[in-house]
This record gives sequence, structure tokens and C-alpha cells, in this order.
Amino acid sequence: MDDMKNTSGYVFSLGSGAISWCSKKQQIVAQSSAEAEYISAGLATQQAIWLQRILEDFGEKEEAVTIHCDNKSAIDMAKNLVFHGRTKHIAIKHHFIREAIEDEEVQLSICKTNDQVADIFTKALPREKNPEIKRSSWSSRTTH
Amino acid sequence: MKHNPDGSVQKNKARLVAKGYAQQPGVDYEETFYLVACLDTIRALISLATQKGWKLYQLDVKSTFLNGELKEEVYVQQPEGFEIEGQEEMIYKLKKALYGLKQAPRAWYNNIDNYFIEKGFEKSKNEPTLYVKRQGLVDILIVALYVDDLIFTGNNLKLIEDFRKEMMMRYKMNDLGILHHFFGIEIYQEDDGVFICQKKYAEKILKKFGMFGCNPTNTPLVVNEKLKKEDRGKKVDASNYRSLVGNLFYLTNTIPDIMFASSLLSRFMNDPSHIHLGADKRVLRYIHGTLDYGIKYESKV
Repeated sequence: MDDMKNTSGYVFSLGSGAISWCSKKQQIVAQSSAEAEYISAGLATQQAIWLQRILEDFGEKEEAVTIHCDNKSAIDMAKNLVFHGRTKHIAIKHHFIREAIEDEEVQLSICKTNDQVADIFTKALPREKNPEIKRSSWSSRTTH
Repeated sequence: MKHNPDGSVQKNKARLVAKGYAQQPGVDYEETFYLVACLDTIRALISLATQKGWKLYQLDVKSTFLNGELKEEVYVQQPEGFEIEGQEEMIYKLKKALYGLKQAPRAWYNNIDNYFIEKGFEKSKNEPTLYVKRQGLVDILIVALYVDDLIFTGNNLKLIEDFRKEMMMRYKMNDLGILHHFFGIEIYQEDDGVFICQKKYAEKILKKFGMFGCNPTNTPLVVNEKLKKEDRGKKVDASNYRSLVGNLFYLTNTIPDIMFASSLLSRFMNDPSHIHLGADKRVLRYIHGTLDYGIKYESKV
């Protein structure tokens, strides 16, 4: 809607199937697409850490969760590589992602925009162009 | 009345219900909130169990909330038509919870929580309705409580069997065997993995909104269509719209594809127009086109 706020979205898979997903409108107006992605990456990081703890309850020792983000600048922000002037307005709560990376709880990796499976949680996507694929290739579901 | 899947009557049920609306906070009850495992946890459990080759089992508690013991003193009048002659003015003091009491769910949770702790389970710090019992170095039994459903799995069949027996002795339970249906979600445990979907529920919703047999679409939303709160469209019944959005949200439990559409459309719940309702119906058409789809957790990755 036209209030200039972005939507955050993520999806986590364990094995072959999605287990956790979310679509949430951001509470603030981001000043750049990188900032919007950075906020989304933060939301995903919170969930990743929680999921890791649940898996530990199940007796699984988990390695760092990889979060695929399609915005290079957002990743640089998370790795604290960006000139301070561009990011200093971002509320401190969003920076806990840096700590999570340092503590090796999550790692961010770049992915191509077209490969971003979490896009279905942030926008209306068109149908798969290839007519061979009857079903939208972006869906995380399959038949029985 | 309880029906069989074919629609015939299975049994007639009657239940004594307390007038919870007459209760006063601080006097008749203190805490009322109830904890529910989030479905992310249940899906993570299903996925993990599938990869490990463990089967998932289910027990459901009969008359769940009658198991809760009350901390507060609560009195009820004699039920109408069942008064004891000559003592019509007398009232009952409750020892255990009744349906309708505000604290009934809470009392049940406290009861089963104590029982699990007594039995050597460890409660998860991250999900208060998740319990894990370990035996030796490798054996593990995981139990997730979902109101009156218990979902459990683990790597030791004897642990699982003993747990089932103990639970059935302690509470009145239905042994549902292998987990195949819970909270409106269908679960198919097969050799190559586990498949979950909400086909039956989705069909019910399509029928409820007169969309069963409609033309399916390939996407839940029209690309580039801008929906606005004020669109000058003819207003539609808000409670019907809310109910539809609520049903869509429920379907997101196994249909992530409609998550964005559902949260977008929920923003118009206060004052929906026929344009918003049209967008809702398109989501239903998408659901219709993908009724056979669900999430598959494969056993070999």
C-alpha cells in the first residue's frame, strides 16, 4: 500500500521442506532498499536463532544457519563494512544481526534476485514463464 | 452430536458447562492465558523425525479440561433440572475444572506440566509446551502438547510404548496411533517421507464461500495491482470478509504461497470493498487450483 513501508519475508527449510515462514509489514519507512533488506535479514536472524534452539532441544547440534539475501549492500551492512554515515540512523535493535554473525549463529550469503525464494512473502509474483512448468516454480509446495 | 466421516451419527454428547462469564478476575480466577506450541515447532519436529526415520504418534485427551485441578475456590449452582430435592438452595464447590471456566485451560496445562516434570521430562526453554526425555546418551523421546493433542516421537520404541501406556493410565485418552490428522492438518507418513496438507479444510472453505468448482488461477494475487484502503468500491459485509481472511490465515499453515496475500488482504478488514473481496476470491481460486499440493518432507535428503 502507499505508505512507503516495505514488507519483510523469510522462509526456513529443514531437509527438503519449508518449516517456518513469515510475511510482515515493516514498522518504519526504510530509507533505502538495502536498509529494508537489512531489517528483513534481522527478522530472519531472530527466527533462525530460535529455530536453532528448538533443534537443540530435539538433540541436534546445529551449525550456523545460512540466510540467503539478495542485497549485497545489506550484507555489507551486517558485516559492518559500510561507511557509518549511511547506516547510523538505523535503530540499534536491527544491528544485533552483527553479533549473531560474530557468534557464528547465522551467516549471510548473497543470492541472485531471481533465485530469492522468499520473494513470495513480500510481493505478488507472476506465473512461471516457462509453459512446461505448469505450476509456479516459486511455490514451496509439491504434490503428494 | 459427533459425526462419522460419512455423516452418520457416531455419538450424542452432552456436557455440563460452567457460566464462565459470571467469573470475576482476582476472585474466581487469576491466570487464564494458555500456551500453544507454534506450528513452526511442530513442522520442525515432523521434518526432523522424517529425516531420522522416526514415526510420529498421537494421543488425544478426552474431556481435557476436566483434568485441571483448581487453585481458587469456585462454586457453581446446581444445574437446572438436576437439583436435589429439598436442597435446591445448596451450591457445589468445585475440586476440578469445568468447561466454561476461565481458568480451565490453564489448570489443565499446570496439571500435565507437573506430570511431565515428575516423569523426568525436561521442559524446553524455547517452547513451553515441548518436553524432552533423555535416557542414557542416545535415547530420546520428544513430546509436543497442542491443547488436547499429544504428538510424540523418538528413537526408542520401548520409551514410546511405555510413555503411551503411562499416559493412558494417568488420563482418559484416545490412542490415535500414527499421527495422521491434527488441528485440521492432514499428515501422511509414508516410506519416502511425510506429506502435510489441508485439502479437506480447503474444500470446506471453498464450499462455505461458494467457490467450489470455480476457475482456478496460477497465482494468488494479480501482479502490479495496487490495492488501497479507500478505493471507492462498493462496501461489502465486514464480518464475512473477516471470516474469509481468518480462514485464509489458517490455510497458511501448509500453504506458504498465500501468506503474503493473506497479510495484505487482512489490512482491509475494517472497511472492505468488493474489490478487496474480489482479491480474496482470487486467492480461493488459487487454492482451488492447488488443492493437491502440500509440503513434503523427504526421508532421504
